Amino acid sequence: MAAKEYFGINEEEAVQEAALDLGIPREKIRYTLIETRKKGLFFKGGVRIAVLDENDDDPDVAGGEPALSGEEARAKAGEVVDFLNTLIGKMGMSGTACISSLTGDKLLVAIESRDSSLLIGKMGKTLDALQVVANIVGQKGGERPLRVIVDCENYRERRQQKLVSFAEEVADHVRRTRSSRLLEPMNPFERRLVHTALTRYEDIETVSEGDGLYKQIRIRFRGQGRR
Amino acid sequence: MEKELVEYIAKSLVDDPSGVSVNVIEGEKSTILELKVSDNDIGKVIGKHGRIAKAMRTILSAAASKKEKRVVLEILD
Repeated sequence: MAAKEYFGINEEEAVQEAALDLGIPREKIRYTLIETRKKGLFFKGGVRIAVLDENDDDPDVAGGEPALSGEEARAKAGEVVDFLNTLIGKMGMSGTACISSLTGDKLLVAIESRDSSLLIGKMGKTLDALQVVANIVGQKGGERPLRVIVDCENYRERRQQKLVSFAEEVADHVRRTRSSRLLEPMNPFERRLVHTALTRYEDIETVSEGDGLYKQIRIRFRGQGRR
Repeated sequence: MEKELVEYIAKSLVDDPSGVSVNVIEGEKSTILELKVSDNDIGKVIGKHGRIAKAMRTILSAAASKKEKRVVLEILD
């Protein structure tokens, strides 16, 4: 994870700064919040962000323009999108799904809808369910499965950012108190996000605990004085 | 409407769409949908640890959330 850091009065400003410096459009910038500083007597308040590498091997984010890919992948992507569109209609909702990006075997589908809150569901439950069935459609017939990510109003990205900044907060707490903290059960993808977000701290370690799909992450202090 | 939704999802998932049928039982407060598929396709609509069945139920309840009535999906074997 490359870490170029930028500072701004608020999150937007910081991203703008990064966009100007790196010469990439601001929508394409992936970053994590490092620090939110309240305004104090001797310093300005602000937000510090770390911009992640474009080539970060993040499975959820297909960076850049939709790369040219095999006929098969494109045909399948079309099938998946058609399936989702019919599905949304049959759910009695308005809205359309379209291909947001297709790189290799990774398809990102974006849903535009007035019923977006219903389509996302509590904690993204409905969105995950749509993703499960969409993946099966993407798997059917053909040797290589198409991996489908279904998103709506950037929910996934927002959730990721929230999760990472939450992990940073907990790590901070662990560092201060020297005692470990156990997070809520999370799916493999979310756990991976937390693990990777915290690898850059040498004094913090993360381990998964429990069985099954939903394990819990324990964040521990590695240095001296560990409790 | 829910019937078509379940039928559509199930038909998209299985190998033998002709074996898919949905029986609707209307109750006072809830609607029960009984899904039947070919024997070979049962795993396809249930999935590992019921992952697919759970996804179908979630989609169904999202679709039914605009109405008062509860919708229950049962998979027959």
